[in-house]
Amino acid sequence: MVDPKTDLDTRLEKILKEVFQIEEVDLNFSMDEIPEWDSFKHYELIVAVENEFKIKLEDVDTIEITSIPIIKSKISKYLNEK
Amino acid sequence: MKSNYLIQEHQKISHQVKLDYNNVRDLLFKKAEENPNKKYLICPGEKHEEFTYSEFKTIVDQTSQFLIKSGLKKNDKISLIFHNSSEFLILYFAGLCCGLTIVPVNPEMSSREIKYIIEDSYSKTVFYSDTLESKINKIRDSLSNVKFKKTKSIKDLISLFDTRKKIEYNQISLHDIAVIIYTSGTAGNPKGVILSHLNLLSDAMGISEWFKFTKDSRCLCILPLFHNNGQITTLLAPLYAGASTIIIKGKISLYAFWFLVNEYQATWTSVMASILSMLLSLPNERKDNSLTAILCGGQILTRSVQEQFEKRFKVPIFEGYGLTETTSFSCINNYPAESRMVGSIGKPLQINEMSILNENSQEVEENIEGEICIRGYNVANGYLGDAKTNHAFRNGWFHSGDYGTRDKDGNFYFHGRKDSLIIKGGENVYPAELENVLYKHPDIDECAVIGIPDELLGEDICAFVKIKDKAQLTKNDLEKFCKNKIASYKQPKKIIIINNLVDLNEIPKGPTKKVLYRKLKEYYRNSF
Repeated sequence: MVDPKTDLDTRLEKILKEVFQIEEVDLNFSMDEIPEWDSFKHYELIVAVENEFKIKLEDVDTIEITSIPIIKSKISKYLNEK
Repeated sequence: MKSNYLIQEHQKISHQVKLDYNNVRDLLFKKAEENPNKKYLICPGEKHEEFTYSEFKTIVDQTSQFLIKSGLKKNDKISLIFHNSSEFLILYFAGLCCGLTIVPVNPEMSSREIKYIIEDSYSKTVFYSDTLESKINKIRDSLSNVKFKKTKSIKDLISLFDTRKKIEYNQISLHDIAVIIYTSGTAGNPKGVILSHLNLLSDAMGISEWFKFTKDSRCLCILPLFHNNGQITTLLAPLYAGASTIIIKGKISLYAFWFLVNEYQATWTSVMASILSMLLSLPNERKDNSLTAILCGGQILTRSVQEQFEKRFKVPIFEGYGLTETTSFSCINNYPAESRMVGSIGKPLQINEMSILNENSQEVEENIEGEICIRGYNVANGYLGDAKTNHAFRNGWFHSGDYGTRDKDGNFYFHGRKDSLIIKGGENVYPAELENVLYKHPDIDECAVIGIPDELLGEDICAFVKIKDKAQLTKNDLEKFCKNKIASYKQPKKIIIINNLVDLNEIPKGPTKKVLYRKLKEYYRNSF
């Protein structure tokens, strides 16, 4: 069985690469460290995360997501609540 | 205004305007005295922070003590490299209160661009967000005379000294330099626009009075604070009225725009036209009843975007016009909404005068096109150390380089720019900035950069590149070459390799070998 955390990392990494159109991504980065992360990409990222993990982020979550670790914690929170 | 102030010719106007404050510190402290318990700043997000006027003055006092104890003296320059955050706000006001000059730097710029600004402005200390460490590490060693202070939180910073004692502040005059804001330069390097306390206070007052801000106004700041628009319209203009500001990182503001307006009952905001286009393209709907007006400037607002936005979201948009050299706005469409002249950039704020001048600096008649020129209290002293570009400040006017007209009722209309400036999502980019980077590639024979239409951003960037004979270069190679050498928003969306075109052999040039940008734009329009 695949470790759920590793699985989350892999799926999230794929989303990040697709949304930001980058080849490498450090999962500890904040939005300030990814120049491609602009306001429109932020929107695309949220939609992609919701679709991939079948979760619905609250409005307030979307203003708290300023780094990849925070996205991971939000996804984990909603997956655990399922 | 007292008559003994050192007003420059291009800052004089024919009528009297009374400013109630001597400098930005005086404004902040008087407002804190009048409304100690009123909320001034709300910074939502992961680290939610709120400051009443009194709380904000206290932390600004403490940070000012830290700055003075760090050895900084009046008129010293400090660079601030942050996205919108409480750290920026506190350092900004503390610096202004101490009589320091603030040099806000766009954190999206490349290390090379940041280094240029630090050196050009003679910044003594650079405060930067901890998330920018890797960028700063690339330049730290080459700037050995500059102190770098990584700033994760102001509390950590000020804990280094005892800042509880009462602070003795320096005297600050209206004409002391407050801020140097860098704007795109025709030759490739950005140029510093020198703004005084007079400039900041007068423009803040002009906007505050135009929109009739009161203590109950709540302004949403989504524009970056390292630019003049964010600083003046949504930070200092509300302060002038003792109002409140909600400040959010621009990158997260779009998705949450209507949520933020509703959650914090924002009454007013200032945006670029591209933000309105993006909001129109998203499914998110308005939920509030609080928002009464949106100020829009920095880009051409098309009639269709304005009509669609107002029809769908039922909030009036007020188009305005201004430049960094006029602190922020010089004119705004009439308020309230019923008196607007659609399609116009409005009438001058009371703190400045505007005119349409011909090539001989003579006023032209109504509805005749000429250069938009401005004079008044909000017009900058000039550019930092560049006599050539200071030519824009001449004959008692600031010559904007923009063309337009004025109608019989005194409404102004913007037509376009004289030069090849590209305005991408509100960010100014001169072709030379990217061309200088491209020319460093040994296989490039010649290149030219133009703005191309973009539905969301207004304009985007296109580079025409001619590759040397026998050289092998792809668009991908060039994209990789430009990466990290220039800010990401200045990267080309499109690269056209001329060698692959059948109807264009070289970059079109005039008799003096100057690139004919207009001709290249025409070619693009007809061929792509």
